[in-house]
Amino acid sequence: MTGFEIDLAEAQAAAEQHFPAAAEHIRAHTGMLRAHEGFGAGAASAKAQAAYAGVTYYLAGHLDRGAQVAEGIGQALGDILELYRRADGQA
Amino acid sequence: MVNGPSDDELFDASQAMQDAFWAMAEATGSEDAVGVAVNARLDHLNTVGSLDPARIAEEFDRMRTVASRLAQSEGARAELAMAESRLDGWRGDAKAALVGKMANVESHLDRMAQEANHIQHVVGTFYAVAVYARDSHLRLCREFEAAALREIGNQEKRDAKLAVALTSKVLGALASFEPQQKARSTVTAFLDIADVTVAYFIDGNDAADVANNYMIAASETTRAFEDGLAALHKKLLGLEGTLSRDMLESDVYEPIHPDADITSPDFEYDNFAHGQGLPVPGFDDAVHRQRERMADEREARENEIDRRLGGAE
Repeated sequence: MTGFEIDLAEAQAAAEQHFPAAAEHIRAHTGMLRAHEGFGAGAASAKAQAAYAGVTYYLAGHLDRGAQVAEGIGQALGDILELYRRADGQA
Repeated sequence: MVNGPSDDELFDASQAMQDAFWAMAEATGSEDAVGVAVNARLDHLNTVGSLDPARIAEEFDRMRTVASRLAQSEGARAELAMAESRLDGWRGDAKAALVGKMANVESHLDRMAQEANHIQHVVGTFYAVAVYARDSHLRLCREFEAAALREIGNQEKRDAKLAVALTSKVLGALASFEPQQKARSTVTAFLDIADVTVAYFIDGNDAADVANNYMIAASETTRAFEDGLAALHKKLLGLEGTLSRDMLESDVYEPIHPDADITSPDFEYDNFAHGQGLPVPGFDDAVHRQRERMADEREARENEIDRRLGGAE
């Protein structure tokens, strides 16, 4: 432990491994959502299919946002650790 | 009835009905009434065949996978839990800010799982509509082909009516849905619904009656199918509205709190280490200098990226 009551190595692992891994898991879904090929070829269903594409597009976008935030938390944590390592003369 | 009749089966049945209708017209001299029915039958065929149940089933499986994985504790949630466990012992506002943001992500995943459940239900409903429409139209074509052949052969007429699915009834049977509670796990479960048929006359007094009865049954069921697609379209637009507008108010779209963001002008060292024997005098200055240095380094990196991207144009 340092004077900051945090195990820097453990926290570094969280920043560099777990948050990026969480983001990767979330992003795995977005590829599936964007992989759809529609419900058929007929004109009668074209409007409904276009709306479905819109829904999956937005859902994938929100999941992307979740992934970005997970990465952002890891980045913020990494920045904090870097700052204190430097300030504490450990880097 | 899994996936319903194929395109080829539908086409062949419709074609066979047309051939029987023309033969009936030739035998009975009722070309006008038969001509109307025959001219309309391709529209009916193309409309009810416009949804492909096999492709819808694939999409259902994809959405089910997404919905279930988003709700599971494995994957992203497990990584977030492990991350938090590695921060044990750290106290302070900065940690609270980061943990709060992690909670935002988990709530976001909950909400996304719920929305995926809603979407999955719509896809399952599309599937049921498609299968019932195809199955009904196939039987309709075959029954009216048989009726035409009976008319040609002056055979005994049948009193029985033809029961075919009406899309509005399919939608009604599948309308109520509580995510998490009634989620149907397989797409074929959406076919397991109460009677959704209506009955139509087949035979009549003569060939014109057969052709007219076909027009009534096929036109009404086709129109109901189109209305059903319009209702599902409206449902999807509602979901899209939720996802495109309401979700933007989610906490996950809020920036990381300044307590945990060293690039924020409001970031303060005290928020990082709360209540612990803070470092030696002058440490705050060291932190401040390093923050400035890291900001400069970050800016230099971003400038370099911009320069490279600019050079690549």
